[in-house]
Amino acid sequence: MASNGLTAFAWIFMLTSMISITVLVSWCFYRILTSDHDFGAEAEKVIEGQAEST
Amino acid sequence: MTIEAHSGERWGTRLGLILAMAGNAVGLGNFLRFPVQAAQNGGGTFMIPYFISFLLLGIPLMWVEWGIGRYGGRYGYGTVPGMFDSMWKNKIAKYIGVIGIVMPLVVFIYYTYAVSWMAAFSFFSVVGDYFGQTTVDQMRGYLVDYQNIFDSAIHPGWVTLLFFIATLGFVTWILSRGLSGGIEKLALIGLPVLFVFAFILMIRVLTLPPTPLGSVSEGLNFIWNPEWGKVLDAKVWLAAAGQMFFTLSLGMGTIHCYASFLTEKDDVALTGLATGATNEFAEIVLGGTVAIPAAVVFFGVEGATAIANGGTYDLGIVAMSVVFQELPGPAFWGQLTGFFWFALLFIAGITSSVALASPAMAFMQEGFGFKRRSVAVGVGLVALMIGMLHVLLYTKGWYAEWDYWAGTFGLVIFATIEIIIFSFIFGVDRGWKELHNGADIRIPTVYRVVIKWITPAFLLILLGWWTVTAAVPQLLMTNLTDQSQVMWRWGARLMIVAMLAVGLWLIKLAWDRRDAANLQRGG
Repeated sequence: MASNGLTAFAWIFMLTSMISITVLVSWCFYRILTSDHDFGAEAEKVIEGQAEST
Repeated sequence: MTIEAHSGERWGTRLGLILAMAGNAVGLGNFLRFPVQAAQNGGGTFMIPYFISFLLLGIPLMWVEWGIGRYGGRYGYGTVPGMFDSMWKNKIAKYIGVIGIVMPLVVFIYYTYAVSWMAAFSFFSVVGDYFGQTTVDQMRGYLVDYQNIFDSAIHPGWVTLLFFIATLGFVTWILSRGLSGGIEKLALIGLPVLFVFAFILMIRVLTLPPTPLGSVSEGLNFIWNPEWGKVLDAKVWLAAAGQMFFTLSLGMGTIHCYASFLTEKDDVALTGLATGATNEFAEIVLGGTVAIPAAVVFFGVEGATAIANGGTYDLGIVAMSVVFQELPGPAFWGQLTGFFWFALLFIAGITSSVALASPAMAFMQEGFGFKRRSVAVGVGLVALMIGMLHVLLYTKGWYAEWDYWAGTFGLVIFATIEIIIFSFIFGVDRGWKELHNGADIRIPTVYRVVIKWITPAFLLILLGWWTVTAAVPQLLMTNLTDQSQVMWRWGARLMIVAMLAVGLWLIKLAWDRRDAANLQRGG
């Protein structure tokens, strides 16, 4: 065990996991916030009749 | 059959939807259940199957639920019975979907009671009410006293009732304000506040000085350093896969309901991924760096593990309340930190509570044409009446029984059914196309195979294993130590069965009503 209480593997595992998740969240929100695709559009008319048969 | 229009409501903004979905997912599970599961299953040893479960179970099921929800919404359905009916041409499909209305309602009722504890403990922190209960045993006694309203020495029983009624009243008020004006607004305000509180707590914990018992780095090492010999332990894999359901709110029917308010052109691929990733950020980066490291500092690794083995609330409420009293500096800072912690839990819980009530509300609106406000009041009153049983019978195992059958086992049953319907009845080819309608990203092709084969197989193994190792012993009450609870626990089960029966009857009535309306129109 390293002197600060964290093993080298634990450091790498923790940082890799946290950085990966943070990058993923940041990327998702970057894509969403820079997209002109918002969901505030008028409601579409609901399709009459049941969904097509499988 | 012609279908009446969906409630006509829509999300105000995409960000609002993502935060509402994230609010649905980020709940008590992120900050209370996750650290306990990690501690009970070897810390770092738990994290490896946890990440694999996220990739093979969490993300694909998120996409599937978003896809089912948006597809059903297009045909006028905001709840699972109609969604299954639109995907599977079989008379029983809608009845199978009862699980997607009743189970979230069941969870909503007892979960809101737990959320009310967080409201109470936020208040108790501010006024320093529990300060003086400086050991884990004393603090456990304080919590039990609060929960046992018939035999409470510290607070009168009505205090517990008051916090429950106030919390339920707040949820009902939010629900009555509608999708955009209530749920979305709550998420737009609550989620940023939650993240700010979580960051404050994370910094506070990470800057704690070491004690003779432990240090923050030892706590982090416990979470992130696997014991390689136990990585293949089936129990750890089951726990990690189970956590995925709680943390992402999968198998509940809530994601379906929220996604049903989208249009065909609205993206579900990137938006679904964003909510899943936001939840993981809250759980791993924030949730993982608060409770366990703090507990390890003051109780050591062995002490923190022993506390976690006592249950979800032992670590998050009991141990943390002791930690706040041990923090360096004046007591006021401990009280303030305690407030941040319990307020964070309250916000996390309340955003999930409104989501859990949404399927039942949407069903009553679309099935019987009731107005949102009336339905909100009705759901609130039902929750109050049934919830009173939890308040009164908490110590008799009523809560634990509902938590197991609806909040644990029920989720896996629902998820298994929906993935089979999506992949094999609706068809993975149509499903894949559906997921990419209006998509802002292309889902990696490997997920087509994962959704078709790996996730269903994973779920079937999980369901089978849980049935044998946990559900049967739970049903037979093999490990029950207090035999006086037997009758009450059967009562709790019968109540769930009765609610399912009422749900089935209401589905029949709703469909009969639609058929009659369509005949009238046609005639």
